[in-house]
Formats: sequence, C-alpha cells, structure tokens
Amino acid sequence: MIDIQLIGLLNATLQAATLLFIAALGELITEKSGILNLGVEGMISVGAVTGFMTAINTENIFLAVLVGVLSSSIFASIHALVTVVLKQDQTVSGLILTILGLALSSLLGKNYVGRKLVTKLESVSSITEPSNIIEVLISQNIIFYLAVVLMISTSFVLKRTMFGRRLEAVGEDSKSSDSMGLKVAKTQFIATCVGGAFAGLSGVYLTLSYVPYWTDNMTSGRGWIALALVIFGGWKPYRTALGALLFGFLEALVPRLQTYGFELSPYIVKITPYVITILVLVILTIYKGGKTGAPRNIGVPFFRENR
Amino acid sequence: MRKSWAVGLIIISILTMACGGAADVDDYKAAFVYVGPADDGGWSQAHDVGRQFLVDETGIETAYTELIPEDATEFRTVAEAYIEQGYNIIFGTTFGYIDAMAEMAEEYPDVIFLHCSGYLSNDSNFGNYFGKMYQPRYLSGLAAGAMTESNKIGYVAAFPIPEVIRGINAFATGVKEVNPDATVEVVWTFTWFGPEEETQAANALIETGVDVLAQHQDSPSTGVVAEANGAKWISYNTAYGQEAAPGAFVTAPVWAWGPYYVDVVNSIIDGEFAGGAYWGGMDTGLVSLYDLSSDVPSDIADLISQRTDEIIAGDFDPPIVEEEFIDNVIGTVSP
Repeated sequence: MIDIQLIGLLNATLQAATLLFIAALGELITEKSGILNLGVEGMISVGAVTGFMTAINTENIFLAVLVGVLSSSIFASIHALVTVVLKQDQTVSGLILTILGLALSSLLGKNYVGRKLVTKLESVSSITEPSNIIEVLISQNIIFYLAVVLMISTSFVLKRTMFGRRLEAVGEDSKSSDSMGLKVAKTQFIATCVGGAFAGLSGVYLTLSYVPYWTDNMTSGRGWIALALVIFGGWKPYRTALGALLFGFLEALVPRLQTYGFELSPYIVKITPYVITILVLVILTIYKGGKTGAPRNIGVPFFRENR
Repeated sequence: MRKSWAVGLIIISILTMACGGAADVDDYKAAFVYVGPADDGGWSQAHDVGRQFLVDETGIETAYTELIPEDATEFRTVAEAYIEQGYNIIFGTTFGYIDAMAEMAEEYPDVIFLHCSGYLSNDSNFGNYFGKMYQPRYLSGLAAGAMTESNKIGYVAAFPIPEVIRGINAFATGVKEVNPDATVEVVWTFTWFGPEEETQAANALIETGVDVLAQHQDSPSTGVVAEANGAKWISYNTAYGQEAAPGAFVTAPVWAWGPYYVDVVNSIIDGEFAGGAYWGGMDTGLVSLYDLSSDVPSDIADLISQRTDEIIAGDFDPPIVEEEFIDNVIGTVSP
C-alpha cells in the first residue's frame, strides 16, 4: 500500500519539477547574458494558452508544442526590445511582461476555458500504472525527457562552447566583452528569446499534460518559483535541476502528507521553497563572500557610449 | 350610478397621485463586482448568469466589473465610479469586499449594498446573502455513496472554514445514508482556485484508491483528474465544468442567484428592503442539485428526488456540523 503511494509521490514530483525546471533553465540562460527577466509567469501563460488553443483547433500535438514555444519566444522579444535595444529598466519591463502575459492569455483563452482536450501529451511508454521507480522513470511524456536533454546540453553549451563562453562574458562584463569585439546586444537578444522559448515549453507542458485544460491564471505563481529556483541553483543547470526536484517534491507532498495521515501543517511545507532559497542565499553570502553565482552585470543596461 | 363613477374617478386619481412618488424599475441601476472573470466557469460565472436573469425578469439596467481583487481599495474604486454614474444598488460577490462594503454603506446611505457570503449588515441599506449549499451537497453525497465501488470517496477542499466543513459533513451524511461502509477522505488545498494544487490533491486521493471525487474548489481540475483515472466526479458551482470531463461528471451542487436577485431588487423597488441577512435554501431555488448523469442507479435517483422534495417542503434538513468531521470522514479540520 505504502509502496503505491510512494510511486504516486515520485510521479507527481517529476511532473511538478519538469514544469518548474524548464522555465528556470530558460531564465538561467537569459540571466547568464546579464538580462533579468521577471516576466517568466507571463511567458509561461502565453505559451500555455497558445499551445492549448492550437491543440484544440488542429488536434496536432506537435504543432501545438511548436506554436506555444514560438509564441512565448516572440513574446519574450518584447522584453529584449525594451531592455536590450531601448536600454530600459529590466525590472519594470519584466514585471510588465508578467502582467501583460497574464492578461493577454486570459483574453486569448476566453473561449477555451474548461474545454476538453482531445489530444494531449501522452506517456512515451504503454505503462499506465507504474508499479516501481524504473517504470515511473520510463513512463513520463516526451517533454520530461526533453527537459533532461536540455539540462545536459545547456550545461555543455554554457561550459564548453564558444557561444556559452561569450554568453557568460557578456553577462559578467559587457563593456570588456564589447571591447573584445563580442556582439553584446545580439547575444542578449538571443538569450532573452531562448529564455522565452523555454518558458513556452514549460507552458505547453502545463496545459497539454500536467493540468490538461485551460483556465485563467493557470500558472498561479509557478513563474515566480522558477525565478527563485535560478537563485537556488546558483545559475548552474544541474543544481537548478536538483532544486526543481526538491521544490516539486514539496509541491507533491502538500496534499499527500494529508492522505498519509501526518499532522505536519501544509502551510509550513508550502513556505519551505522560499525559506530554502533565502537560506541558500544567506549561507552563500556568509561562506563564499557573496558569490551566489549571479552574473555580475545582471540588471545593468549596456550603453556603449557610457564608459 | 353617475355619482359612484365620480367617486371612483376621484379615488383613482388620488391613488395615482399617491403613487406618483413611488419608485419603479427605471429609478434603479444595479452594478455587480466580481472577484474572477465573468466567464470563469465557476463562482463568478454563476453570479453573472444571475445578473442576466435579473435583467430579463425586471428590465433593470445593470453593469459589471470582473477580476477585482479582494481588497478594500480596489473594491472602493470600482464602486465609487458606479455610484458617480448613478448606480444605486451595488452587489459585491466575494467575501473579501466585506470591510469596504460596510464602510461605504455608512458613507452612502442612499445606495444599497448587497454582499455575498459575508456576515455584516445593517437595518437600512446593507444586506448580506448566501445559500444553504449543504442541502444539495447532502444530495450529491447520496449519489457518491451509491457510485463508489472501492468504498473510498475523495474530497478536494479549499480552506478549513465553517462553510466548507459544513458542506463536507452534509456530503458525508448523504454518503453514509446509502453506503455505511464508505469513507470520505479530505485533502485541503488552501486555495479557492489553484489548478496545480487541485490537480495534485486529486491525484493524491486517486493514489489512495478513491473512485469518486468531490470538490469545494472553483476550477474543474478535480474532474480532469477523475476523467483521466476512470473515476467519477461531483462538481460544484455550475454545471459548465462538465465540458472538461464529460465522462466523469455525475452531478453538481449549483448556485442559481437569479431568483434571489429578482426578489431583492423587487423588494428594493417596493421600498420594503431593510438590510439584514438572507440565507436561502433549496426551497428558494438559490441552491440546487444539477441533473444526474445517466449512470446513477435509478433507485438512488428516486431517493434523491424524494429527499429533494422533503428538503423543499421543510420536512427534512441535513444536520449542520461545522466544528468537526462526522465519523465517516477521514481528515482533520485543523490541519
């Protein structure tokens, strides 16, 4: 009996973690270039609603994922335009992106509220009721495995490729990078759009698999947890994945603690991700002299003339 | 004969003059403030359907504003704008407007404020209204108790407050009546509307082996989970959610605010309104059980319609228990 419940807990953990991780990974890439994008919540919403609408209208799941990812990426380019090209405040622009994205998705999705999805992202294997850990791991849907691939490839790209090194250089010191001939604006623009695409993927995972329908305010704060996750993960893909598993586990644990008959208050479990994030920041500040892993130029607009 | 005609005419003219000062529907305009979108498929939509019913029945001019957070300043801004435009009946349809409405009722004695689900009122221009949702919840419990094969029923619930606990106990009373062996397991989500939280909670219940899910939540997440796992689903608020999970949908305790809105507006027009609290039961039509799906056994359907008649006639009322859970409920009221 207890075994089946643990399987369910693991499954729910992976689902919650996948949603958080993909969005956080995208934000990580954006922030590595020195651009802070607080619009994750809005970007996930846009990807979620456009993907859902496409799935309802075309019943083509591949197209739905593609549309969700692309529209969210295009949406993120608004932030890139405002902060990279027009050099405006990143915090304000990001917050606006969240508000705009939530409102836009409500507007677009008005006629899609509560409609039944015929084609959704199915498990890649034929196991419908996994009975052990291996079966849980091999019965996720394609986006889960895509997330694993993205984790490995992002880490590789950041550490081992020219693009990754340039990205990091721009984020650490945009003026020196510019002197060295790197294209700061172009790099930041691309990083922001890639971040948007990842958030869109997280969005379609939400509406095509995790909670397969559309209603207003679907994301209900997941974008903000993704932002906290980037800090928790110290801007490192693997540590972010670990954080996503932890945060996802806590999310899955809240209702299950009650069914397991524990008396621990779910309120305490619910605040844990945020408390952990703050603790990690404090510990890093004390023991590593403030080296949280944050790109040094984050949030600072780059003016070429302003030396 | 001629004399009586003349007397009649005089009486009629006096009456007409006396009534000249009385109000009719054109003297009133009603504004509604919703916490969610007017088409959320749940709570706010139920109120908006009521508003449209009010317009159809009385011809009164109405307006509404959606997505106003449960915040005194937000509510006041919207309500004052309506009052400036000449609206003199303001409906606030969520609990969180309570303080703003109480204050404004004092500031604007000529405007009538009606607050849904609150506990404050006065004896002139401020009233609150709510429905005895526990009555149809009890009826839905009869259906749930009959339909479970595992004798385990799950209940996804928002907050451990009297309104919700009362509903769970009434539901469990219905379950117990038809199936003494069945239990109702409760999971709290701590949100009225949280698609992910509701999904997680419903999945957690499915993992414990429940095959019927009920909810006190505003999104259809529980139904979608039930549908995906071959379980049955008792919805809530409105029947619109059944589109998201047609195979799982059994029935839903639903709100019908329309008749109340018509009654209260008529009493305002007639000058009879005097604030106070209104708690309407199934006899008023404010709360009811939606049509049963075809897979409910016919003897249970008969029992439900019999109990419905008894409740409406006032011969029977499910017990109101809101301090603790009754014995076939698994869970805690103070998590």
